[in-house]
Amino acid sequence: MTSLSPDCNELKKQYDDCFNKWYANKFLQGDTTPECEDLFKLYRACIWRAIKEKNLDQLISDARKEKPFSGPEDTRTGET
Amino acid sequence: MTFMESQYLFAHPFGTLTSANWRKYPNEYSSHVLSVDILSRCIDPQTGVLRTERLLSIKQSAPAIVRKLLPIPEVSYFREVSFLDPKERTYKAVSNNLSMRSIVDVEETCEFKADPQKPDGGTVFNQRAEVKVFGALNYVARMLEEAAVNSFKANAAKGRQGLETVVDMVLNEAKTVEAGLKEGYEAGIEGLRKGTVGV
Repeated sequence: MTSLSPDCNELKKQYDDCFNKWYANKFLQGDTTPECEDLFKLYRACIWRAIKEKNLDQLISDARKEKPFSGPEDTRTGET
Repeated sequence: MTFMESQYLFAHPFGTLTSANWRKYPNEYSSHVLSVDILSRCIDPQTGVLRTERLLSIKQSAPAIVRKLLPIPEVSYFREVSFLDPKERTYKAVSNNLSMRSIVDVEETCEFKADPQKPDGGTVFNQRAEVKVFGALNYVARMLEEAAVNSFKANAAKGRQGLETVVDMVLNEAKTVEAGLKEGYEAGIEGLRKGTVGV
């Protein structure tokens, strides 16, 4: 799946491939040691650059304040 | 406020379905989804629950009459936060629109739960969409909400089909890997017998 910005597509693909393998082979079997941190850091830096360029960062910041969803209990319907 | 709610039973285990869910896009049924990005991701050290925050961009497909009444942009953005508990085998994702929040509030909730009746296979899928239109005459607001919810209903079936095709892809990949491993293993055994492979 493409990223918001074509510049981030390659970094996103590398991270996604790593995550998908880790998710199926480690996380689901009970091993929660993260493995894709370095790839995620690179990809995340790219995507947040793109978000600022498209002026979406304020919208995201507002949404995070309105509905922080800090824990699964925050996802009950009707609660904000 | 208008909403739709549906429940569906997938004949796949929680692990397969959630793996496919992370890889859901692109698929032939979801051409309206233009991009998906991870904004943040972390594992709760106490509970082991994976929290993921995502940004999705969607091609707007509002009916012509709605576009005449409201300034709807071509691309709209959604923020989704999800919690995946690998021990309880539950997943819950809530998305809200980031665009047009002064006009409309859309909240979609998706849940996967390992089927309690079948511990080794089968996943219950619950989907709920709520639409609230602001600042319009009651009748117009209702009409717009209906249009949005109908769109959700139409996409819900496509969404499930899309997920099924990705599940097929994931399962085929696993079969190919297994076949490759089996071939390699048998070739190795042959080699040992013939003495071409040393131990």
